[in-house]
Amino acid sequence: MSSYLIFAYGGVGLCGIGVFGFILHSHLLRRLIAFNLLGSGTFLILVGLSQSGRGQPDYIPQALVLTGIVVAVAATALALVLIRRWAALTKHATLPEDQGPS
Amino acid sequence: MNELIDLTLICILLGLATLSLFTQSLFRSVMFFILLGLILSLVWIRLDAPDIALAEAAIGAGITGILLLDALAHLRATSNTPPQLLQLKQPRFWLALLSGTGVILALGLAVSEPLSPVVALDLKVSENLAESGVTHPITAILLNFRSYDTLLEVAVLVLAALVALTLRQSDEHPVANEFLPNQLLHACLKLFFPMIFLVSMYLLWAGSTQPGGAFQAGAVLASAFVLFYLVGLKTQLAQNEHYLKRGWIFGLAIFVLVGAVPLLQGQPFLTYPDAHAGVLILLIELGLTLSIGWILFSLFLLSQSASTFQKKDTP
Repeated sequence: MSSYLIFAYGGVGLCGIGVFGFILHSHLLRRLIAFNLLGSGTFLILVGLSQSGRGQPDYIPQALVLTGIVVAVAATALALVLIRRWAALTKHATLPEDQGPS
Repeated sequence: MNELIDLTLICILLGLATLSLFTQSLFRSVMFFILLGLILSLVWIRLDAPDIALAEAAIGAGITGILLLDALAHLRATSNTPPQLLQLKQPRFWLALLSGTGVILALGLAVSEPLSPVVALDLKVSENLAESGVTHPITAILLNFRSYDTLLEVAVLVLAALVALTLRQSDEHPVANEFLPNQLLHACLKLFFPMIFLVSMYLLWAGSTQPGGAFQAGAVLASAFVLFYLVGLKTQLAQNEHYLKRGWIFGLAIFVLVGAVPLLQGQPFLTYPDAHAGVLILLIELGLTLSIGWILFSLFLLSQSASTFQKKDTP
């Protein structure tokens, strides 16, 4: 198995863990981390899979992932702004439907 | 031997991912996530993608880490119950487990399918590389062959910053001096800042021939701005909303302007004249670097003023 393919499978694992955590957790910050894991897993699959097909570095998925990372950090920052605003207004770091029957 | 390194990296990666999601303390969880970013940049090196490794180290581990830690400090006051992991009676746990394994199985099946490249786009890239004005293929793709992607990406960044701006308190001016009023730190930063700036500009310059480019340079620049802010060397610029916005638009404006000039000569949007392509790309990249750095810093700054109510309650 080429090392490109190994990392593609690693990306698969990251995606699974990310989805698991995203659904399981109700704390918004943990959800954001899980979502970022899912994103990183996707990037790994994208580059790893395409390079394992060719057996050499493939620059187009690499460029796409580079764009993706920058957009992902902007999305994370925006999500954090929203979470902090939400927490400042409601004193909760979870959404109302996750706060239990209290 | 190489496979051993890869497998070790994957094990560390998956272990850190699990830890970052399921430790009790939120602080540890963020720390593990930052560590994961660093390991991920090693993974990108193993994947022969040094550009992404640079970006991941600067953005994934650096900027995201700063943002998360800063948010964490302000979220302390909220009701933070540690997660109960094995809530076997909760339908939510089983739903999560089912979805997680489902995703792994489906993606694993997809990855194990042998892949046949239908269109050899990489050949087209290497054929046309000479005309692009730069010799590094990734910079050529990002700023010449697929420049629409990059243009819209910067537009997305500006949009994110604008949304963040609407969420801040209008009558609020965060005071920087409360953070770290340390003379030694000030003195060190004054020495460090020119170096960080130089690294950023070097990354930008190197981008045309070797790994590097506007995104990595912008991220490094943003970290320099954040450092400035943290030690309390607050510039007047950051206070003034007009300067804030102008900084965001700068890179996008240069990009659109350079892209629009060929329209006057009856050529499509974003075609560079062959003779000047290299210089134009460098000009666009310079604008992008400054803007990306400024936008990332602004997002950090704005996320601070989004939670001002919190500050009054926490001592």
